[in-house]
Amino acid sequence: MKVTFPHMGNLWLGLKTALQELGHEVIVPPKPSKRTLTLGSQYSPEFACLPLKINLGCFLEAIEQGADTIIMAGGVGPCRFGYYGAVQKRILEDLGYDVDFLIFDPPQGRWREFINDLKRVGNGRPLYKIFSALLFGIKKLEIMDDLEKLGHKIKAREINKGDTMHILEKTLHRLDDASSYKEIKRIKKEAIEELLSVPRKNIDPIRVAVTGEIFVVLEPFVNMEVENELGKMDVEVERTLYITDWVKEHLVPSLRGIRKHKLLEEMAKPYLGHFVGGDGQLSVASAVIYARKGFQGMVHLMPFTCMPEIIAQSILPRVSKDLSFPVLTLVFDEHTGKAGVLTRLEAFVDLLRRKREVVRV
Amino acid sequence: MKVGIPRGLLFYHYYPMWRVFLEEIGAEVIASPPTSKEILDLGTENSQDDVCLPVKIFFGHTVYLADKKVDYLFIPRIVAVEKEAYTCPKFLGLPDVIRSTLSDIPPVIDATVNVKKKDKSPLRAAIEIGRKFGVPLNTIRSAYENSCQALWEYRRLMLKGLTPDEAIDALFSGKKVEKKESGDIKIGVVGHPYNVYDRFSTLDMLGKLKNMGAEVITGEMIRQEDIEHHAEFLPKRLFWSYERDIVGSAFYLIHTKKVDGIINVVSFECGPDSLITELIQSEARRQGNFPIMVITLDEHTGEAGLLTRLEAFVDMLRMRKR
Repeated sequence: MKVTFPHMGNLWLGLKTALQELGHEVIVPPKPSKRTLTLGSQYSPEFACLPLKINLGCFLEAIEQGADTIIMAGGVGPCRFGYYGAVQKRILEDLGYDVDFLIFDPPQGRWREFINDLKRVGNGRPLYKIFSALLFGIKKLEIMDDLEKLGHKIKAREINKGDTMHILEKTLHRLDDASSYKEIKRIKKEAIEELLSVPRKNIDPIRVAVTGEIFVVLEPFVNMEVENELGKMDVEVERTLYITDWVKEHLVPSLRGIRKHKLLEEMAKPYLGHFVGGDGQLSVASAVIYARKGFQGMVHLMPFTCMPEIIAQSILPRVSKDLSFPVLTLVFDEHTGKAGVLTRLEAFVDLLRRKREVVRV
Repeated sequence: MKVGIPRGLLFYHYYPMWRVFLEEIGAEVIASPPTSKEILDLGTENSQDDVCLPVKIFFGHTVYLADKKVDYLFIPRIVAVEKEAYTCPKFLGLPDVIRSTLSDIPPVIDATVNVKKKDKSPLRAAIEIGRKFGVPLNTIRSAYENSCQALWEYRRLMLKGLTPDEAIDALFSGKKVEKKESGDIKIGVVGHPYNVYDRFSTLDMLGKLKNMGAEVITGEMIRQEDIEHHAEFLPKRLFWSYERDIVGSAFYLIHTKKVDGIINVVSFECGPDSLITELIQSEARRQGNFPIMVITLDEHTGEAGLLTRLEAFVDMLRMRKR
């Protein structure tokens, strides 16, 4: 069984680690590229959202490399993502590929199937082994998330643009090779030291929140490296969602998670009184939260035709007006060009700078 | 008290129910007129670019009603109409989207219906609305019961082959139910009722098909049991109710060969349609290349192009039949 899975930011690091711990042969699909997108959009429904197309492209590229089993998360709506697996399976079947899909839906009373699938992933190992493998994978992701959070602060201030990026990429690969908790702890420590020794300017950067649909936010190839580009403009970015938040929210329900959720609902309520699937409510809540935190603005990322984010996009102008908090919505599809995104980002950052100066004067 | 109901989106599913209920609790119900160029223009001007055509049309109807100085707009939040599924995300946020996009509109009646939760049942929503207007509980209850009756009657009329407009006429103005004409070929038209039955945005597709001598069967003319049964063929239970009905009716028509071909009407940028159209087409391919045509609607759909495609499809079906 050669296992593969779709890309979403650094997710591969955690999944690869966990699956290898369980003794699987893992085929990580090549990083999403123009080719992935072309392959994916060729066989996807025209108005499917970008994540589905990239997913499918990833699968096709992984199959080329010999993958025969695909692991995928499911869902019960109302976001389309929950039905991806079923549709992608059908598309691959119609194309004549013979691959197995392991789709993990929330069990909802169908525990036997869920456990069966889990056992297949477990490769004959006991349940606690599966969990410890998962935890190790999540730990690596957590470290990467922490480093990226720190990285956002450094990126805005670094003198040689690209230093931070370089360290983060190097660390990602070191984490990939690491096989013990001790090792990853050391890697984290070293990476933090390295990040802190990056030569920096002494400035007070503009602060911008980046939010939106999780896949587009987390996948730099898709969002034209928005975070990096903002960093290059000396802007400090704070991302509203991280991969470990997502994984934890879906795997280990915690009191903290529930509280956070309640807070988000509370913040969004005056504008959006109900969840709308995906990350739509988060996007609206983020505008309120980051306006209060004193950020200068927010960049809202979404795939073309994304249903929950279209709702957020329709509501954000009102939030923005009420709180006098600039929000830039960027919509991504297979035809999005980097130059266009850059121009809009530059104009947006200019606007934020002017606005701050005016307020200060 | 005048309550305006925009003639768009779930109007086609529930209008008789809403109207009977609101009238019995003492409101005067004003439905906006059928979609027109003017209403569409109002909608496109007042909504965000990325919302789908039916939502733009809904915006148009809402603005139209607001201009007519109704006291309330009736835009309930329909979250779930069955335990195991939601509706499309746009319905979950519709009242909020309307309120934040349009300023200076009358207050919105936005009671939530979510049968997944005990305190959000349709009856509870009815009571919430009734209480708001100080209507005694007994009246609310009987109004609700009568409104359910009206809904069943409406659905029964559509099962007999009436379009929603005809069924509404039959229900409220007592017009006689016309016998359905038959044609030499049968075409199934599946899609969201707010697309299929909007004569303006579809450029009267149903009428055009009838003029070409085809008999039209729509999803609303198929019994719910048949729809449910055939929706079971899906690889995984679909978690959108209305879309599940569309797939179920398409599968029913494909599997039973009750029609000679299917036209699937979708709107540009529709999220759920993007997936279910793929599933329907794939099923048609697997069932011996069953004839299917997908028509995508947007605000730029042109009459000549549509007519040509319909004619070609009808000709093709006739040729196959010979």
